[in-house]
Amino acid sequence: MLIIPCPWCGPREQTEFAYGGEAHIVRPKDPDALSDEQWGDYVFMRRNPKGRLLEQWAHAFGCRRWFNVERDTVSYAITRVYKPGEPAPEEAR
Amino acid sequence: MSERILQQAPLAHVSARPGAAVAPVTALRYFENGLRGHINLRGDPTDARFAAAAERALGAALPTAANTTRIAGDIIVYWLGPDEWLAVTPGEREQEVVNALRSGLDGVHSSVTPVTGGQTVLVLRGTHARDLLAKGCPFDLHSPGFRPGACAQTHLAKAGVLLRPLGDDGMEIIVRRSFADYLYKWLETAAAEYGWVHATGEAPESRAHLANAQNTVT
Amino acid sequence: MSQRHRLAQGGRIDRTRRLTFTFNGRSYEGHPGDTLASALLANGVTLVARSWKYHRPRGIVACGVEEPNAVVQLETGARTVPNARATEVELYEGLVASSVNCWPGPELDLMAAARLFSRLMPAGFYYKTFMWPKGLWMKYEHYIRKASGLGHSPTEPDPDAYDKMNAHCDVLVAGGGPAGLAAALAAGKAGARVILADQQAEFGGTLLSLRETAIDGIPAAQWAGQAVQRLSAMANVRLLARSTVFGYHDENFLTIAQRRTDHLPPGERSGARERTWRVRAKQVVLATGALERPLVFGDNDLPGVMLASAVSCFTNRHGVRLGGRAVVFTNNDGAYAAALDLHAAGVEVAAVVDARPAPEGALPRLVRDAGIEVVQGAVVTRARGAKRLTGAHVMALDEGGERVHGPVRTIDCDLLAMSGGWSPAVHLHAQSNGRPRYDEARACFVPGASNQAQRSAGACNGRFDLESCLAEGAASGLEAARLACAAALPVAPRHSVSPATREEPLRPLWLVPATQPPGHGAKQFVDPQNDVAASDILLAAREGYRSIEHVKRYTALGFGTDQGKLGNINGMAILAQALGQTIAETGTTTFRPNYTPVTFGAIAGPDLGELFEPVRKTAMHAWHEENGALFENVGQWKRPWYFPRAGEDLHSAVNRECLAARTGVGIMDASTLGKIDIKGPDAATFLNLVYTNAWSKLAVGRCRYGIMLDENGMVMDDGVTTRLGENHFLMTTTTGGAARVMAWLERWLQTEWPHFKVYLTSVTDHLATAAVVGPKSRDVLRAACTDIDFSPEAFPFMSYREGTVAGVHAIVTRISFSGELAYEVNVCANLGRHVWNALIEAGKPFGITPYGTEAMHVLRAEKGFIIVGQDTDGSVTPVDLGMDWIIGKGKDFIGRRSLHRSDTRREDRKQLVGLLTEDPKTVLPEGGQVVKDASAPVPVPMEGHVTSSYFSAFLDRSIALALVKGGAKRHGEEVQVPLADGRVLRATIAPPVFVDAEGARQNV
Ligand SMILES: [Zn+2]
Repeated sequence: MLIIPCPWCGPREQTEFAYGGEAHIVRPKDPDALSDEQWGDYVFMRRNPKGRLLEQWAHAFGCRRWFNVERDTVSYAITRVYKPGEPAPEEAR
Repeated sequence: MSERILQQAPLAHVSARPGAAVAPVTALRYFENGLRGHINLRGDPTDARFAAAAERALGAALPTAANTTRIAGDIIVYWLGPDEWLAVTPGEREQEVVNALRSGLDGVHSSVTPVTGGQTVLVLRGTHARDLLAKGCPFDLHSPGFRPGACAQTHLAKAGVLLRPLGDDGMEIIVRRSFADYLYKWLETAAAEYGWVHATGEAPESRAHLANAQNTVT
Repeated sequence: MSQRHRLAQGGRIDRTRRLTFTFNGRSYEGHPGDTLASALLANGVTLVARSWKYHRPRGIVACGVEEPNAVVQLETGARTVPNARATEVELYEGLVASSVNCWPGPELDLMAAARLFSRLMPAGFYYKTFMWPKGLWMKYEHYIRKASGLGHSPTEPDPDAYDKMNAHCDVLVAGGGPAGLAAALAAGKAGARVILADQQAEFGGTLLSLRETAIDGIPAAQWAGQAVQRLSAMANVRLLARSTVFGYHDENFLTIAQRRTDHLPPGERSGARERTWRVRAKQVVLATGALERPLVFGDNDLPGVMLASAVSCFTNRHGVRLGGRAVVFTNNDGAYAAALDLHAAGVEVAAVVDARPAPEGALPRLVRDAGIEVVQGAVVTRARGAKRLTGAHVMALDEGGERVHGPVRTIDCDLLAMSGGWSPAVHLHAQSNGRPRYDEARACFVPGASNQAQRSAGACNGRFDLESCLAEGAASGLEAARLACAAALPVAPRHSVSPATREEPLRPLWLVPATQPPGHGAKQFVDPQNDVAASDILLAAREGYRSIEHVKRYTALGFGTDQGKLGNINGMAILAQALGQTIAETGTTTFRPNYTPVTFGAIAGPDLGELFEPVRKTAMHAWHEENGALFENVGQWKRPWYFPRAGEDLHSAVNRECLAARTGVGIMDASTLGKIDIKGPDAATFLNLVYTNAWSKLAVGRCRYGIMLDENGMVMDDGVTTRLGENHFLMTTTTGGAARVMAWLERWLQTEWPHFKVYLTSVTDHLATAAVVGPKSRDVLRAACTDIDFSPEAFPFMSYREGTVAGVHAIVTRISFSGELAYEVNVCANLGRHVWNALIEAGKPFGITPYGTEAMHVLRAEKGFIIVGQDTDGSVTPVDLGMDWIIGKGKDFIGRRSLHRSDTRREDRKQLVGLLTEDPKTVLPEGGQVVKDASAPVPVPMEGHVTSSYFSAFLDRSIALALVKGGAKRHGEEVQVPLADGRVLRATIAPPVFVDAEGARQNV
């Protein structure tokens, strides 16, 4: 079970959090301009890396804030957390 | 139609049971401080107009450090998030404080929402208060920073709670109304080994204690 | 019965008190301080079990968690414990235990006939026979289950309570032997928050079995006692005895099972039986010790053959006289201590048989000085005896260790103490994502690099002499404290040990060479609990198995309740030899949690029965109870299902409740619906995006129904939202979807549209809601509220007003989930019961009838109103529901683009229809499959399924909603619904609205 550092509340138990899947999936500005396949990519297709993944978590039982986590899917090590709107670590994208 | 207005705190059915007026100090005493005014406040603390209006209405500046509280007279303000607070007032002052907030915040993007019926305040007193909560709470209740002036939102068993430490032997628990009965049963079951006493009346929240709590806020 | 094998003196037992216990129906006596195993041995009971496959007689081999044979059924009835290890069971007055695995008992075992067929049950027996021929599987399974059956689980509910405790500490020390005690002392003195857990009742580990060793000038066991006293005096140290650290998970999260009452007679137990500690430790010191390895020779499973460490433990710690004449068989110095312990206890030691050609260490010298013969360069090739050891065959071992030669010397003995060296208990290290590595010099697996904040100390780190254990323990404890507390600390204390315990190296000996080829002579057991012999592993190698994981599964090596603690390492080494590779290349199987078996109770804790899940209740719950409601679970909520009157069943009560709402007035508790206060200048813009329909032009004071989609275009929630002000809305959600919708909306606001000025606040619990429903609802509201004009013109359908109901402020909405004239009254929940009482009172002249969720479902189904999650399942679009009218044009919303994908545009998607049965009295089963022709060849093509189905008292016929392929264009078509009992029901597809399709009734 992980300890997740909420950017506002500090490190808390995983049981206080909800998982939100991959981060930085930006909603297309003009969905109608997309082909079915492009739209399908946005809705369904996600990275599944062996290694570092940027993902969203919510401090559900805490401050109810959503935030981003850089986590290694092999070691589960969380290498950084950052607030929505803050830039993603370049090397992990 | 009946003229008498019946107000019921979420655990009124528990409080109605015969309780002990005097409990041994070693025991774990439980109280419900029901029928307080609960006001949820949202706004941008960096917006000077918002911060000033909130301070005027509540009598103290909003606590902006995460997981802290601020006490202004008979109002306790809890940090819930970077743009969200809870103000707990005496029941009879709820409307007045809501009105003061709303009028002060007129034209300022904010939200003043009474949630009075939606939650209640439980108080545990006794040397084993933290041990009892540790049975169902993953938060480190003994961490040095978790002392009067702090608060924490976490979960206790399977109910979300807002905790506020009241010195070494006391803990305040704010829980949603619909979960209160479940949480009470859970507490009563888990507390059996510590000598659970269901005390009558309200928790002895002395002014001195409040002052003490306020002093430790930085 | 007297304890005729009890030594006259010695041992950490209380001889002043006698405890009576029963084993296999016979009564015995023991003392406090005994385990069930030591008490049995003190009474001369050496045959305690039959092996599970061959039903060979088995005795006690070990003195701790690794015991494979002395597995007992403890107590009877609801409190019975299957597969308890007698070596871990503390004796108490009145204890009742019996052997598992044999019937009627180990002495006379009717299943022992299985031994005659042992040659027919080689490795992979199950695998081979159960795969083919197919038909025999059932027969074999029946036989095997009967023959094998380890313990049986209780059939009654567990009467005991269990709980959990979360704890946080700077340093967790796992294991309270010499290294663990030294670590805890060092860390505790440094001021760290320490938890020390040990699986035994008494801290000290092997120190409690040492006879002559002194630490810091005092006897070892006494030193352990003083260490515990010092630790108890430290406020920052928590001591957990009878507590097994059984799991090591991510981020230094460790789980500990604390047994709180098992050592007491059942009548004296109180409180939680077990407590699961869930510990977050900043640093961990593993001091879990080592497990002695048996030696693999012929018939090494005979009762009387025992680990040398167990011999010392039973002799010194429990004061048991284990035999009359003993042989010690070893490949290392340590086992010589057992010879000395036996000698001191007055047991004749016939010889020490040492595989090494010239043992000259301190302990061998002491043994020779005591006049005990040392047969060097020799091995025991075979144990002799039937139900009990009577002698040992000893032969010389060649230099390469591959052959025995020379004459066979038979030494008479009834006790054989064996030692093949020690295996560090690296289990927790491995669970912590460490990878044990093979240490050639010490011939054992030792912890590899740490991948969490942990370190191993003492025997579990391959330090087998006491002085090193203490030194490494102290250093590790101090280092852990330093890292956890980020403080400079004093140097670790040094502990002196006398006499010095330097040892000579062992001679690795994994499989004692036999005179006959493997599989032909006496069986050489590797894993006694699973009856896995060396020949089984060699056979697996011959059949082509290379991976230890595969060999494990093929032979069942290490699969028992002991998880192969005794035999696994020997098995891996034997496989390595057979494959001609090193032990390091062969590797170990995976060490998974749990270290020892954990009860289901300890895992469940207190979260059982009414505490299993939160039971959420509304402010009116007590009224419902007082008025005889039966309840239904909706998510975590308890909602009134129906309110039966005397003599009514569900059907008649619901019919009455429905007719009341359609013809008079009903009242329902709608408090459980999710309610979200939405505030801010961008609120309407936000709603435009999260709902399919448009919100900008909704007038203040009006309500609107909305459907929410996920981005895949599928319906995820619905509800009515009211515009309280220009920038202020009150949204309702489904009961089950409230939390999900709140999190969903916050997520969009916080991550995708942070520029929107919108604040959300949940008011689900704050507002209690009473729905007053039916043609006479206006009359009831008028009686209860005087400051709102309820005339249709002043207060039209789909609008809201604020006013005073029963003297308190209320938000009244005129909305309808039944198709009738209806109002919902929302008040602060502290006043919910008050207002409910008042509405009931005001409604009495009109015959107001409380109704529950069942009637609510019938009423809404008559109108074709969907329930998200019942009529939808995450694969249904609003178009599929025939709700094209709710899809806004000329604006974007979540899920909109998906409605134009090729798949969502298909005309043969499952669409919502009504079904009318041929027989109006027959109610279709929900979930029933809709087909064209049930008599078509299998597989019959599925056309869809029934989602909602009720009897409508108002229509006096059954109604159903279904999702049917292309259903929107199939109205009037006849379909069939086959039932499990073979009957086939006929029905006609119809529009999904059965009552008042024009909506006239709600608009009066
Ligand atoms: Zn947080």
